[in-house]
Amino acid sequence: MKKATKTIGITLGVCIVAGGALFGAVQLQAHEGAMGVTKERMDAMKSFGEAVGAMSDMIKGKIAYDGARVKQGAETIKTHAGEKLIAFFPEGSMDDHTEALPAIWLDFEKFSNLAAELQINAVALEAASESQDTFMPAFIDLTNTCTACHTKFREEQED
Amino acid sequence: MKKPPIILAAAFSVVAGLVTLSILFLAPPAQVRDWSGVTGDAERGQYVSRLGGCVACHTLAEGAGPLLSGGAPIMTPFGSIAAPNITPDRAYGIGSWTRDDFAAALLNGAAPDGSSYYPVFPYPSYARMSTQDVADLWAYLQTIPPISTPSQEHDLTWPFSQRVLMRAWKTLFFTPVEFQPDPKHGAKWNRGAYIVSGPGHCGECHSPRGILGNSDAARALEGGMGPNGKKVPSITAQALAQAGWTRGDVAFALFLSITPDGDSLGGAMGEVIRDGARHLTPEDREAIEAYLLDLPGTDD
Repeated sequence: MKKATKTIGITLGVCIVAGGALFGAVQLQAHEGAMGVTKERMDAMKSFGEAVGAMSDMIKGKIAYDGARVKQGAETIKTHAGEKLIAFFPEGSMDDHTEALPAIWLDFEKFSNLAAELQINAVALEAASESQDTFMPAFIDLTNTCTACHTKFREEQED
Repeated sequence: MKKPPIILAAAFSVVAGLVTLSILFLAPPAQVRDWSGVTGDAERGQYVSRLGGCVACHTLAEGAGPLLSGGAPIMTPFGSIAAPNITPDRAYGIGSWTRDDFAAALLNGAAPDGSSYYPVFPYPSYARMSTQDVADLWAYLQTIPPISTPSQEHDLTWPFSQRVLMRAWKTLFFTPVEFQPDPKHGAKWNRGAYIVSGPGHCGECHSPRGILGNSDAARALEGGMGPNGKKVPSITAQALAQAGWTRGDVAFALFLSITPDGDSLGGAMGEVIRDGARHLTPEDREAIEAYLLDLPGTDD
């Protein structure tokens, strides 16, 4: 009887540890997330977000206006926009992690135009970075492009 | 203890009976407003149309369709519903309506023929609108070009395709009462509360719903479901604070679609901002923020 209890106890313990490890491994995999081109474009978008977030804080007055930082952010966006951005979205490049919608490849011309527009607006933003007055309208143009693309071509954000 | 099936069946019959009775005999709830001294201002009405987000649903996206001449189908768990043509066209729009017809639609969810609208048309929120805003909106709608495009048919699954059921739904879940300011708060906070709970109808997507599409006032703005069946986040003061939203962030996002972490809001919220929120005055966007973040010091 005692031995049986002990055996059950050990078996349960092993199951719990193994289950926990497996769960951890699955979690890790989910966190590692995207691979290849999907990961590249997600990283690019993340760098856009960081730049735009900092510029937003300047407009909100949360941080002081910093023309050099705006210029640098605009450059980051410029170098990853246009052809580079289009190349990040080869036809059907969808995996479990992507938030891209299939609509991209149904209207690739529109998508490509927005990618090109982003680059043009990033160049304009870079040129307008010297003073806060010129920066503001250029920033609005740029973010309009972000939103136009996300409204049509990105999956709904759920959190 | 498990309830015997017979009791469940009896309870079900009673509920079904009550619902049937209410369909047949009870008039759905309705409110009456005092229109004396109220004159509509079309210019202000155009602004109210932005507050109410009319364009986002009643116009095909991206300028593909003429203004307010009917929108793309909205997906619901009960089927799809397309927002109709609300231009002053007499045959296909609302050109033959009176102001009272319009007010009954907005404030009571009732069509001119007495039938009830599906609450995809957010009249449970619009019911809270001020009489002046309704009059202004009506005046504005008279001024837009009439478009003779038929509205798209709804495509609902049975039994939800039976519009008469909406009478019972209204009896059970609809309380048409005009917005009342909270005296504990100031004008700005209350303006925000009015926009959010009334014309802005934020809760139609951001509040959870019961299985019959009814909203739960106690859980207002705790997160719900969007027009395409996607989860919509909670926007309670607590949830926003947890997600890092502080003073300035909400008003900014409602203007440029940019969240505090630099992301650009797309999807349905992108449309809400593009067609509605960004056309508001900065004061109104700040009022919405004061209410949603429940900011102290905004009681002026």
